[in-house]
Amino acid sequence: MIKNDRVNICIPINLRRLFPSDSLRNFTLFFHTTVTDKNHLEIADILPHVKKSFSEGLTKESIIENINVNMQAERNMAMRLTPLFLKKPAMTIAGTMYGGRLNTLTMSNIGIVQLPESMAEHVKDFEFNLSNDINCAYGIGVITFNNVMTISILREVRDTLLPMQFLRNLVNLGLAVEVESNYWEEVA
Amino acid sequence: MDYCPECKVQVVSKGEKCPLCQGPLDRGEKPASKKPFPSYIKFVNLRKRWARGISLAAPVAIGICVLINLLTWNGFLWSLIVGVAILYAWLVGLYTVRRTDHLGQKLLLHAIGISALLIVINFVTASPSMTSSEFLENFSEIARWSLDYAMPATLMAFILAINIATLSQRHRLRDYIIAQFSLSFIGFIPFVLIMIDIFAADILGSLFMSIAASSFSLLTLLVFVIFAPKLVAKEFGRRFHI
Repeated sequence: MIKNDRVNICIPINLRRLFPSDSLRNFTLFFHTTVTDKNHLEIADILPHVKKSFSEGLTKESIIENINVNMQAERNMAMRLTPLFLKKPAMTIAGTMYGGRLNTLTMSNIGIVQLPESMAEHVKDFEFNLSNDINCAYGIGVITFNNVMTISILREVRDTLLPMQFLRNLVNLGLAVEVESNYWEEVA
Repeated sequence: MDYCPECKVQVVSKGEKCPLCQGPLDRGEKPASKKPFPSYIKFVNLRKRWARGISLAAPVAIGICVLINLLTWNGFLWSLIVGVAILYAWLVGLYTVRRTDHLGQKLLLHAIGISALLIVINFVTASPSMTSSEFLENFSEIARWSLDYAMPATLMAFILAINIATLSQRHRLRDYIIAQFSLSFIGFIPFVLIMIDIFAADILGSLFMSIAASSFSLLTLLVFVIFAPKLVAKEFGRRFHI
């Protein structure tokens, strides 16, 4: 089912928490965590591995190291002098060949949304939809409001195995799960 | 609210089966706590379909023309004109229709495409039965109307068009500036080509259009450099990462 038995999850990190910035622009960096599942491990065996990669990869030092690698390429004189009209298509091709395909899915958790009381009483729920494309089959957005966590799973594949296993796991953990769908797989 | 006994989840949507396992649902009498998600409306991208059809038809049409031209060869390479015309209509035309922005780039591509097409028409129709050595010897004579008149006139028309676009949408100057400068530099090409050949033949009479195109290009460049020097420097710095 999983090619190469390798699952790579891409998670955007909100850099504002670590590096204070007043800019309104998107200030994020992508963190990748990979699980090589040759022995078809159970979720309980995978979790410590993911937790370890998070605790090691999401430190300020490790993020600075990643930023430095990106900046090295950006500061390279040959790269700087290459015109944008050449760099853009080259980066698009490289991104298509090596970027998106390395990801099994992209997942982002906005966290708990808190609204002023006067506004909260008029809001029923929130949805956070993360875009996906042909190279990254799943875009999973998580948002919590009013003690309800909403997980939006946008997918490029008709197969519903991944959302089914994921939500069945949540049910097994004792959580009450409500599912809604637009039955996209029937008409796509 | 409906319930899936297999997945053990409540189903809010009004579908016939479970969205996860596709199995049957136990129908509940209690209405769902929230409004169900709207049904998916299939979107058919007609533009994309047309573009794909044209991208398939264009190379096939070029291939057929070349084949017919070779099978009925009479010394006239008409398939080159048809091929370049199809390529121009395919690549530049498709880009023009599919993209709703980048007017500057569109004008630049059209100027280059039309100029190339005119030069090809000129060469093919002027030298139907020439050998390659005869062609190179008489290059300046053959290239007369396309390089002396048609190409400078085309470039002037497109430089004027982009100037009008820039003046009417000054807030989008940044979007147009690279295309504007590229077009203005291309505007010098007919003059440079003729200058290379100026000592070889008496062609002063045909210099008028080339000089006009070059002057117009120079004037456009000067206007930008004089009236918006900071913007030009900033934009070039940004584009070339200097």
